[in-house]
Amino acid sequence: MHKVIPMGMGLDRHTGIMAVDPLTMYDMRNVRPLVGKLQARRGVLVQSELPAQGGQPCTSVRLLQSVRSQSEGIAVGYYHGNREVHVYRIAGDGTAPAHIAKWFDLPATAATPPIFTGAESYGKAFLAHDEARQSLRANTQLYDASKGTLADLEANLDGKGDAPIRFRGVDTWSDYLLGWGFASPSDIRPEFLRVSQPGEPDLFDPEHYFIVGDRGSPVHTVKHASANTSSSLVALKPTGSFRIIGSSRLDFGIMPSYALIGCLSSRLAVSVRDTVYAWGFDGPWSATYQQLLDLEEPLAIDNPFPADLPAAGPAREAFALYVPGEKVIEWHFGDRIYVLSLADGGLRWSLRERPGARAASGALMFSAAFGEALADGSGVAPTGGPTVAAVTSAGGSATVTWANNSQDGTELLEVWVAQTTNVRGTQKIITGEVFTNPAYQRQLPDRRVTAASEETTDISGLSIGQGYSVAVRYRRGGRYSPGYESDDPNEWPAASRMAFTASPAAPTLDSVRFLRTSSYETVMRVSFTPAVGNEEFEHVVYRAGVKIGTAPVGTTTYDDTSAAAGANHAYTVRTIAHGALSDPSNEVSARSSPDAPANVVYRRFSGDCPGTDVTYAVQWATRPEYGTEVRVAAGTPSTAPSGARSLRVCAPVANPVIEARHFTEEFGTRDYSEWVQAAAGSLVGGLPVINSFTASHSRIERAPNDPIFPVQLRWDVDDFTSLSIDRGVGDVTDLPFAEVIVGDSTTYTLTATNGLGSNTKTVRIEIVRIR
Amino acid sequence: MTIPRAMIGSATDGRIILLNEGHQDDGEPIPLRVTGNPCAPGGAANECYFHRVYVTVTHTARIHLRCTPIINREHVPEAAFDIELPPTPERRSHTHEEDLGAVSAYGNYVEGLRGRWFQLEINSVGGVHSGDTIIDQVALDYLPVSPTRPTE
Repeated sequence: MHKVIPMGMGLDRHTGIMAVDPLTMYDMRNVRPLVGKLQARRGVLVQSELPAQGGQPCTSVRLLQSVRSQSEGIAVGYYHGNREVHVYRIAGDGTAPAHIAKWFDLPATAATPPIFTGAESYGKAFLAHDEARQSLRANTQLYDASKGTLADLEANLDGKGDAPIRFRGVDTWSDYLLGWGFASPSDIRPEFLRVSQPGEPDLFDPEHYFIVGDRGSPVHTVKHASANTSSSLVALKPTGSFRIIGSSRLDFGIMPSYALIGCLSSRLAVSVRDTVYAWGFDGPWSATYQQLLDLEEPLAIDNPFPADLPAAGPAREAFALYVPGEKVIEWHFGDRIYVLSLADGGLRWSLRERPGARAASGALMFSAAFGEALADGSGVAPTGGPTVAAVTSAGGSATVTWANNSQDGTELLEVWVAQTTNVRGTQKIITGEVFTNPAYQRQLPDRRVTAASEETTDISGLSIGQGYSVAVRYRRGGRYSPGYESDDPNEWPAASRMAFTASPAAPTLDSVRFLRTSSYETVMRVSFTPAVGNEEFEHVVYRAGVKIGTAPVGTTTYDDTSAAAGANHAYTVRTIAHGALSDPSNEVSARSSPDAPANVVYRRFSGDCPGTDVTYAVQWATRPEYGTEVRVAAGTPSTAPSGARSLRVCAPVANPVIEARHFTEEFGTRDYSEWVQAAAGSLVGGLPVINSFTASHSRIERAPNDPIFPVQLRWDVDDFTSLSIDRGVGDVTDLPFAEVIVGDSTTYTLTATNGLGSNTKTVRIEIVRIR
Repeated sequence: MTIPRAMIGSATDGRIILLNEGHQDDGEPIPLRVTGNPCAPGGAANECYFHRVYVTVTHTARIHLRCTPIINREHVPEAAFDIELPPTPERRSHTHEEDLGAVSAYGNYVEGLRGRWFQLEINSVGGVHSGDTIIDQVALDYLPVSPTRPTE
C-alpha cells in the first residue's frame, strides 16, 4: 500500500488524510509553505548599522519608516546607555544612514524599550511614540523629506495656541493623516482618533476627530480594509474593532465592528490587499469588510511547542510585517516568528528563527531604479557602468577583473553569476544543455568600488567544467547606472557580462623518466599529481607544447613512446573536465636516455700506467641504478659496475680528456646517457676504509672429541664497491658476516675494493689442541 | 519604478537588515526543519509495517537533508538517512527512495518499522544552500499488520 503524506499544509492538525494524531505538534521551521510543498526561506543581509552617539552604541532600531517620495526612509535608533532616541535618514535600500537629529531622552519611568509608529503623507514622514502615559510621551515628529529637517508637529487643539502634538500612533488614509491617543495637551483621551485636513497632513482642526468606543479605552492602531468599498478603515483596540465608513469628513462615520476582536498592541496588525490581519487576545484573525476569519485554529497556539523553539517575546514589543515576494506575514514575538503564508490563496502557518537577527521593528522600504538626488548625493544613480575585463578560473573558483568607469568611490559593485551549461562526459564525447537565457544570481555581499581603474573580486562554488557568465553593475543606494536598472543582467550592456568556463586547477608535474620497456621500445614516463578534487578527470600531456596523449581517469602517469631518442624534451600536463582545460602544469624537461653522470671530477692518483701516462682517479655522483663508462681521449671506454662511483684510468699527464657516461642494460640492450667531460677537482673519499675485521673466536681450545662449530667473521668497511675474503670464502659484498669452519690455525684476509683501488685487513684464528 | 523590500531593525544593535535576500542569515546558515503531519494509514488503532519512504525534492540548490522517521512520536535515529544532491542550473525534481525494511516477492512477508503513527522529520545539514530548496512530497509504502500475524 502506498500513501502520500501531506506536506506544506502548515501547522494544521486537521489536514491529515487518514487518522491524525490530535496531540502531535507539527514543526515547520524556516520554510515557506506552498500548496503541497515547502520551500526553504531566503536569508537576510545586513545593509547598514546606525552609528554610536555620545560614545554609546545603538542598542536597537525601534522604527523603520519609508519615505517613498524620495526613495529613502527613516530609522529611529534607541541608545539604552544614555536613554537617547535618535533619528536617521537612510537610503531606500537600507544603506547609508545619515544622522538627522536627536528626538528625545526617554524618561526613566517610560516603558522600555520605547515603541514607535510612523506614517508618510505628501512627502512628509510622521513619527509617534507609543507610550501609554501622555505625560511621558515624546512629541510627535514631522520629517520634511524635501528639507531633511525634523520638527515637532504642532496644532492649536485646545484654543491656547499651537502646542506640540503627542499622538500615540499615526497612519495615513487617502489624503489624511490619522493620529490617535491624543486630544489636546490638557486632555487625556486615549480613544481619540484625529484626522488632518485633506492634503495637509500637518494641519489639524480641533473639531475633526472620531471617538472610538468607550472613553478611556485606548486605540492601538488603525488599518485599511476593503479598499473597494466605501468602508475603508478599521480602528483596533485591545478589546474590539470599529469600522470607519465614508471617504471624507462630509460623510465620515464610525460604528462598532467586532466585540472582543481587537489588537494586542500597536504594531500587531497589517493590511494586505483588502484584508486586515491582526493579533488579538485569542490569537490571530483577519477581516475584510464582509468577513471575519479566526486564524487561531491552524496555528494551534495552545498546543505545546517543541522544546528547542525559542521563547516568544512580549506582545508589547511584537510587530507584524508583510514580506512581498514571499507573500507571507511575519509576526515577530522576539526570537519566535509566526509566519502566515498567503501564497496560492492559502493560509498556512509555519515558524521561523533568525537567532542572529532578532528584530525590534520592520517595514516595507522602497528603493528606486531612478529617483531624485539626496542632499548628500547618496541617492544619485551612478553615471558610468563597469565592464568585465577578464575572468580567470581554476578549481571551482574564478577571479573577475572589472574595469571601472566614471566612478567616484561611493558606488557598490554587484556581481551576478549564471551557469550557462550543464554538460557531462569526457573531452571526446560531451553531452548536456546550454542555457541561452541563464538565470543570474547575485553574489553577496556587494563590493566597494575604489578609485582604481581595474579591480578584482573572487567568486567560488563553481562546478568544474561548466560554462558560466558573470555580470557586474554599480549601485549607489538603490539606484543603478543607466542601462543597468533591470534585475536581469541579460538586459544590461553586453560589456558588463563575460562568459567563461570553470576550469579545473592545474596539476603538478612531478617527474619525467626515461625507461626501456622492451628490447625494441623505450618510453618517457610522465608522472603527475592532479589538483585536489580533480582525480575523476582526464589529463592531457603535452611535449614541447604539442598534445601527445591523454592519461585516463584514475591514472597519474603517461608513457610517451614517440619521443626521439637521445634528445631533450619539455613536458607539461593539463587537466580536462567536460572539455574544459586547466592551465598547464609546471614544465619538466628530460632527455630520452639515462641521466648523464653528475659531478664528474678527476685527480692524479697512485698506480701503474704504461709509457708516459699517469693514473687518474675519476669520480661521479653515485646512481645505483646505472652503470658507468669512462674513456680517455674518446678511446675505448672502461666500465664501472652499477652503483660504483669511481674508476682509475690512465691518461696523458698534460691536458687529459676524460669523459664519463651512464648506461642501463635491460632486455639485453644498453642505453647510454650523454658523455660528460670530467673536470679537475677534489675526490670525495679515497680507498676503501676497513674499520674492523674480527672473528667471533680468536682462540679455540679443542679436545679430540669436541664438536666443531663455525666461527663468524664480521667486518665494518666504508666506501667500497666489493668485498672478498680469501681461504675459499669468496665474495661477501652483499653479506653482513661469513661463517667458516676452522680446522687448524688460519689467517683470513678481507679485501675491500672501490674505483680507486683496494685495501686489506687480516684476522687470525688460533686452534689449540688439548688432550 | 519603486521596489518594495521588507527590512527589519535589529533588537540587539543598530543593524538595518534586508529580508528575503540570499540563502544565509548574513553569513549564518539557515536551519530548515520540517516535520510532516502524523498519519496512521492503518487507522488509529492498527499497527502497520512502514517499509519504504519516498522524499521528492525540487531544487536548484545543493541539497543535504537528513530524514528521520518518527514512529508513534518517537524518533528512530537508526533509520535516519541523508539525501545529497549537487546544485543544478535549472529546477529539477528528484525522488529519493529509502527502504526502511523489506517485503517478500509475494507480499506475504514484510519487515520494517512498526507502529501506528508515522511522521518524517527533515532537517537541513549545514543549512540550506544557494538556490531553490523545495520539499515536494513525502510518500510511504506500508502494510497493515494482519490479525493472523502476532502483534509483538
